[in-house]
Amino acid sequence: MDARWADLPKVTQEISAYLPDTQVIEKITKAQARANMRMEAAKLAEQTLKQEKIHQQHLGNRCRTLAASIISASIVAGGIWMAFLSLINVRNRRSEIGILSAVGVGSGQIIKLFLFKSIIVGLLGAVLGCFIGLLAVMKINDPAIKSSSLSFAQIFSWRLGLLIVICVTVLAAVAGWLPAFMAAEQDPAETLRQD
Amino acid sequence: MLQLDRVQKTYTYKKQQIYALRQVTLQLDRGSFVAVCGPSGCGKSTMLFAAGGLLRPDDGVVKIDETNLYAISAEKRAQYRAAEIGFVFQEFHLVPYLNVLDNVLAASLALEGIHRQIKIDLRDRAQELIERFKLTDRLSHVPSKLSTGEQQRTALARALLNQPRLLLADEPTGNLDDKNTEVVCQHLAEYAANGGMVLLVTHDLRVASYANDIVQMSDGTILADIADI
Repeated sequence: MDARWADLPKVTQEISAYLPDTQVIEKITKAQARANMRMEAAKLAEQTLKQEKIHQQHLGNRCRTLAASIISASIVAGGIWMAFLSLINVRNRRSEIGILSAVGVGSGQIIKLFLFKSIIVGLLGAVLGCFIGLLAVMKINDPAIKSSSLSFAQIFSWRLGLLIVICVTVLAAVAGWLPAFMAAEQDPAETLRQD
Repeated sequence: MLQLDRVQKTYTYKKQQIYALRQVTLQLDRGSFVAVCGPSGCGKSTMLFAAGGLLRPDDGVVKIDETNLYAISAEKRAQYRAAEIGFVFQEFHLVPYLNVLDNVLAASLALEGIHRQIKIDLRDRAQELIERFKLTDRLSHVPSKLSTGEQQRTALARALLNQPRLLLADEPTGNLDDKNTEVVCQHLAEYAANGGMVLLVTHDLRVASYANDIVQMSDGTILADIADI
């Protein structure tokens, strides 16, 4: 509010105190009215701006939450798919497990063979997946086609990348180890018969 | 010497018990070639698998010389199989993505931690077997590029790589033509003549005629030694 008008209620109160029977009438000039309107408009604009900022903040939070959910869902779905593929791969290689077992390759050695392959495939898949994902996001986020692009630090987190690589590798290892272990622990004749 | 003493094996299928082997007793000495004949489902293959340490029987003893196969751990039994037992199957069971040489050498994978010189010797022996079974020009071919006869000869070479005491053959000629049947049977007979033991399962009496001894099986029991009839 304009400083000149800030003390008006106080002045009115003081006059009423000294002259109790006096009626104080405030007469506003056109200039004062315009000044008042400007002040009101400024106040409103300030409030609107504040609300817009809060709204934008909420929207940003929602976007971040949505992105986090999509990323989490993608990681889980990718992990399940990866585990499923490893499982299918080992199931398809049951006959190979049976043959190796029949010629005398021990279950420990067979499990090692399959575990090694699963770890290598999981590791390569995770690193390649992160790399392709990063390239795709960088392409979408290209400053040449997008007005408000994100920085590299906002796009990629080393921590998240490392977590994905570790999780996928561990998952692939477990998915490869479990069926190989089950097949290798069976009598070789049973494994060959199921082929 | 291979000894099967009152070996029993039962399978459960849809809550129904199927007796595959009923108190089977059999003995093979060094240099013997025994053929087991009988109709499908009479337990021939089950007996062969049990004799080779591939299938644990429910009861009874399987011994090769002084080793009781099912009294040792699975890992030791696998090592024993690698060193002393060779297998030839009707479906060949070759590793599909390995070439002929690597398939023959697959048996050496089992001999973990062996000396480098032994590995070289095994490679030489594999080459020698490949030459003997006329597979030299197929050395780098994978099983899908081989004829059935060539696949079975590869399987036979693999079975003989570690110079086993016992050779077990499950219908090895079931998918072969006459010429390849003769080749395989002659090699089995030759192996037995050189002091090995051969136990062959077949329903073809022509193939069984290569053996020194033929036994008849029916419904999980050895009926009679045909040679004795």
